[in-house]
Amino acid sequence: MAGFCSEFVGDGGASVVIEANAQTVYAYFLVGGRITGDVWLFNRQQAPENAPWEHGGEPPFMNARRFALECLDAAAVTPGDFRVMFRPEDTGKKAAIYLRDRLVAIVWDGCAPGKSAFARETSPVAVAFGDVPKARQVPSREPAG
Amino acid sequence: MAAEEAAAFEEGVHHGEDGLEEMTGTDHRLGENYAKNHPGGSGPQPVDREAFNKFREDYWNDPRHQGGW
Repeated sequence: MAGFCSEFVGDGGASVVIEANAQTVYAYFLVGGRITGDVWLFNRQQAPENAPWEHGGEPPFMNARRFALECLDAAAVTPGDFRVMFRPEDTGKKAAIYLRDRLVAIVWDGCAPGKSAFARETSPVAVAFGDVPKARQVPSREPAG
Repeated sequence: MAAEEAAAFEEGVHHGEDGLEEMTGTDHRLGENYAKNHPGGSGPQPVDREAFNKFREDYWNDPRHQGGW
């Protein structure tokens, strides 16, 4: 299965990169060339039963079965199937990602993660549409000294 | 919910906060109207993979993304 990595450029230095590997597809929001947000879009293989982020490994993770809806033709998706729109009133710092004219994700400056239409439930890799975004938790740190 | 989110997002894109402007499907997407009605929208462009791989690695290694899994 071919992977791809394509950039969609907006106004004000913002852009969205959509990257696919053999397992999953993610979108990254960039400002000035730096990644400032992310969202899992969909899996390209059968979703794992157990959440990968709970069992080691490295991001970007596949989403687990209980959190994910299936994208039926995920293996066949190409960069040309996507369109990205940037909202001007948000000074370009928010973008909607369309797959074949269907809204599939919203990403913005600082989202961790953004929203995905393929998220059945909110998980650390994607917020379900209709849910309130919540940032991934920051590990507690003991005061120095 | 996805439909509601889509409607809300597109309302912001096409109509701003000043009011609604009805558009047909032809007005909305066909011909030159796509670019006009989708500001900032662009087709996919190649990425400098070497640079992006470094940005992505730095991003995921940032402590903000290490503890919430």
